This record gives sequence, C-alpha cells and structure tokens, in this order.
Amino acid sequence: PRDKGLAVDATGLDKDALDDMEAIFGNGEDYDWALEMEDVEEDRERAEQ
Amino acid sequence: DNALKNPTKRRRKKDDIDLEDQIDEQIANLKVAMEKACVADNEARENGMAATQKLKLLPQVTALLERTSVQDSVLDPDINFLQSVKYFLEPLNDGSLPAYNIQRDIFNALTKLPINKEVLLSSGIGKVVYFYTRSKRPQPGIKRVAERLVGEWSRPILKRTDDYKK
Repeated sequence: PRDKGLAVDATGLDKDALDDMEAIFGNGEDYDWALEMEDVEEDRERAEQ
Repeated sequence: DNALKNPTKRRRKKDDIDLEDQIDEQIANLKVAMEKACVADNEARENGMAATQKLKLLPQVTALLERTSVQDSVLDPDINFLQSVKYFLEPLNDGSLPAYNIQRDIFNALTKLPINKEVLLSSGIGKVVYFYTRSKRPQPGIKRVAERLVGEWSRPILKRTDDYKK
C-alpha cells in the first residue's frame, strides 16, 4: 500500500499553507486509479513468473 | 500631440500589442491541438494502436515552453497553457504513461520556468508532477526531476510558516 498525501511534515503548518498544498498537489487521490492499475499489473506479472 | 512628438514610441507600443495578441492566439491554437492529441492518443490505445499524436506536437510544445520572450504568456494563469501541458503528462486511460520523450522534454522544460503559486493553482500541473513521484513506472531520472519540482514548488508555500516560527 502506498502512502496517501504529500510527504511533508505538517506540524507547525498553518491551515492556509496546508490548503494551498492540497490545492496545488492534490489530496493524494487524483491519480489513484492509475496507481491501482499499476499495482494490479504488477501482481499479475508476479503471478505469471 | 504626444503622438506627434514621439511617433516611434507609439508605433512600437502598437506593434507590441499586436505581437502579444498573435502569441496569445498561437498558444490558444496549440492548446486546442494538444487536447485533441490527448483524446486521439487515448483512442489509439483503446484500439490497440500506438499513441503518436502527442509525440507529433511535442516539438512545438517544448519550443513554446523554452521561448523566454513569451514566458509571460506561457505562464499567464488566464491563458493557462500549463493546464494543457498537464494533460500531456497525465497517464492514459489504460494506466500507461505518455512516451518517454514526452516526459523527458516536458519535465526538462518545467525545471527552467519560474512557476509561481497562481499558475500552479490554475493549471493543476502540480498534481500530475506529484503523481510521477508516486508512480513506479517513470524512469529514475524522471522521478528525480518530479521530486525536485515538488520540492521547489512547495517551498514558497511552506516558507510562510517557517518564517512565522522564527
């Protein structure tokens, strides 16, 4: 399983900065469908070996 | 009166505006072509064919990104050229990434642009660049550039609170 969201230390960040970060880089779910397809493919390749 | 005193200045100004309009139109046309290419490439993949339309446009896209004289227009949040650039980098419907040359040339061009918060918010390009840091598919060199861009783009946003703490 992959980490969700940005790998930043959120301690000490104000809400505006966090909102901006999410608006700019997404909430970690924007391309999850593609990442899930990767995982499925990887599992299939492993099973085929 | 002013026009008579300084005719060359006035003339140049008008030319500048004409030129700016021309560039804006050129960018708008390229954006339409880019979005069509994205749709065409997705359709090609779905039919089991090679996706070639984006690759055909790539030289035009990188040329525009690298033309420093038109940088203001390229980075204008209203023109939003980087949104079309985002579409170019997005994974295709089958989950595959665009051709390596597309990734390499566009990421390379992005590192040279002074991309600010406004254009990040309007274009959404940060989302796709962040995706490249998470995906296992990109080559290590591309992932490194994506990580660098995420770091550079987030620094001014996180900096506010750093300053506040000090």
